[in-house]
Amino acid sequence: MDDFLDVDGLKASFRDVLSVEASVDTVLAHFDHARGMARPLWDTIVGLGWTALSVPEAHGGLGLGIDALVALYEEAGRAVAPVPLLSTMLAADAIARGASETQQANWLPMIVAGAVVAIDPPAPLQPPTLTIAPTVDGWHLSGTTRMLDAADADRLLHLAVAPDGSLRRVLLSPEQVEGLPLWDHGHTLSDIVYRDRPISAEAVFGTNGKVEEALAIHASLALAAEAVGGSQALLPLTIDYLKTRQQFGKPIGSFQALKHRVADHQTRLEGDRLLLASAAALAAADDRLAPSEASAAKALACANYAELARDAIQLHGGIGFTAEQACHLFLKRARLIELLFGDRSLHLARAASALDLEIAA
Amino acid sequence: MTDLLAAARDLDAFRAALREWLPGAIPADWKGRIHREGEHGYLAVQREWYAAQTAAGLATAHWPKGWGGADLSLAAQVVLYEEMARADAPNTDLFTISLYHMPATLFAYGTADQRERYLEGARSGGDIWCQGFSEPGAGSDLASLRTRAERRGDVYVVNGQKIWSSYGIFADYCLLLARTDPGAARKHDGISYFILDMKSPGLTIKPIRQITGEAEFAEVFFDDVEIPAANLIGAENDGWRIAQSTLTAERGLLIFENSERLVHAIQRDAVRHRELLRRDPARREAFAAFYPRVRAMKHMVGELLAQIDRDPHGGGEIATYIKLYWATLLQDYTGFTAQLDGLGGQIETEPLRCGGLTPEDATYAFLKSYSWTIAGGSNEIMRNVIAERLLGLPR
Repeated sequence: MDDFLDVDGLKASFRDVLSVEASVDTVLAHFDHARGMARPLWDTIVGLGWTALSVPEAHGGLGLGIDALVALYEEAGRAVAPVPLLSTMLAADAIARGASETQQANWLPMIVAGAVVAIDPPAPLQPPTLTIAPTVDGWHLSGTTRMLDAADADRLLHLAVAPDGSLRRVLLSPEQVEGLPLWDHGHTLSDIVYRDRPISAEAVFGTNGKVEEALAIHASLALAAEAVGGSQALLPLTIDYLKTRQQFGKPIGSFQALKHRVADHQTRLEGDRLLLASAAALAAADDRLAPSEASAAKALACANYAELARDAIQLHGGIGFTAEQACHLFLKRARLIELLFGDRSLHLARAASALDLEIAA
Repeated sequence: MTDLLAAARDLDAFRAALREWLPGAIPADWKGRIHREGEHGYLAVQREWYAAQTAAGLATAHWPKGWGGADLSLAAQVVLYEEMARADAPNTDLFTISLYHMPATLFAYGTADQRERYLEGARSGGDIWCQGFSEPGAGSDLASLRTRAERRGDVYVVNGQKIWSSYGIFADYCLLLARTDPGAARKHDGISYFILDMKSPGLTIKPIRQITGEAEFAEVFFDDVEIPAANLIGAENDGWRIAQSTLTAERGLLIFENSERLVHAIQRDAVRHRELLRRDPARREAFAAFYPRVRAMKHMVGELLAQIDRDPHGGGEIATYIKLYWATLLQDYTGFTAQLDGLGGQIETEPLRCGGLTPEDATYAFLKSYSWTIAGGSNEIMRNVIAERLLGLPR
């Protein structure tokens, strides 16, 4: 399938749409008054079939691989799009990898049609905080979990530990989930508490280390792509400003104290971009270095994005400190995703595990 | 010994042949010899290793066929450098200019006589070449160089001073930039490119001791030194353009060799410092943070090679980023790992000179890293180039 896929063409079409539907002005306006997802943008994305990209063809999707998704995440990151794309597509991936045929047939077309799903992080990136115990005719779910996008979600896909230590994924309809506002106004955070909540057997499927690892790679690549995309938008924006803003009778971009920092950001971005490409290729090939490379890309790209976004406001000066200018969108997104689905420490540890692997080779 | 090159048509066979050949061909106990015998040992190891590679046809395999080379494909050269790094072979940096910059210049701009004489001298005679570019008053601003070459009959008479000529005290020949037209409107337009015999009368060559204890660099003083007019490369006053086009020659492979050595070094360091990194989470994380950068570096170099493979003159943009990325990464990495050995790492060792990144000599590698952050365009110059030429920021 992927042999025939023109990823660059796909990426260009994502960008074309998002540059209009999630233009800087649109996203700034969203940040100005809203919290959580931008429903009209989500409807557009669903209408264009983007939520079907990676869903298996048997369940109404296009069955495209991780490279198509990475292109989408990158463009969504470029726009700082306020949509629960990663949550939903990661949940679809979890369902496609672990759920029964019947469950997939029930759930995946719903996602293709636009259902928003929030998801507990893949086990390798965060140990599950929920427990699940069998009952006569189903399960009881207990514990507290902190989820991104749950307040906007039509379904929640939890991760829970069974008494025997095995892992289960649980798909539920949420009940009155309160969303805590985040500085990134495109997302919300929710603390969800269960006390022996009865769950039907049909809502539960088994997962395992292999499946969860695949989801961890997916999440890591997604956030690395979002960081690379965001950086690729923010850096040219900043460079343009340095070329036009005049002080002391010349463009401030002529000052080495500023231009050298921009050169460093661009140099690091070149590395992030190529590391992401390698990580996506290793994941597509199911290479044994894929988990390490994906985490290396996540750790490096997200850290560089956060540093670029921090510096971009400084390089813009006073105008960058205003809410009407776009810099803060990137800063808030960058600081969120640096922590999301495993922080830098966790991903560095995962990345460096390859050192032992490579030595053994 | 043509077996090795015959195998190069099939990359897997080439790799296998190299793995068989390398252990016996690398000068035995080369690190020990250099540690014990210093510069003398270093020179002996360099010459033996170069001779072994020349005998196998490997040293000049990247040259075109018919000019002493084998037209070795870029992919095969990559395999060659991968295996060199894997086998922890010494690099032949004494011959870098002989193998890359001199031939690249002569292939493109040399006369038939120049090519015949100097290519063969480097290939089979082991001639060592250096560069005479920088001057005390012309470093980052190289085009302001003032060493003067005046045409008098069949010779140019040269007066002035050069500095930072790598291996200048060992060199047989020098690629020299000198000013032939002081009145040119643009300072770049009055410079010519010469082949200088380092045994010419009137030359004084003085070693410069570096912070590493080595004297890799030399100062070269010119007192009415005569260079035959036949040794002019290209046209008079066209030297700047020629130097620009050949300075970047083979940058891809040279940087690839270095980045491969870093890939191996971080693996060896992970083993070497395993106990410390296991019990010290702060240093474990700081060490781990280098790994994504090393991987990114590797892929940037891979991209450069892919671009050069498509177009031999391509890759200029990514090569510029790589220079800055590599220099910064190398200095950060060696600066960090050198401290992992505790006070033991402060014990002064005899410089290995050609070992690339040797974990046992981490402080030496750190001190040596300035040769990347300063030479060939300092980090600050690279940032100017990136900002102004690649990103379009005003000067």
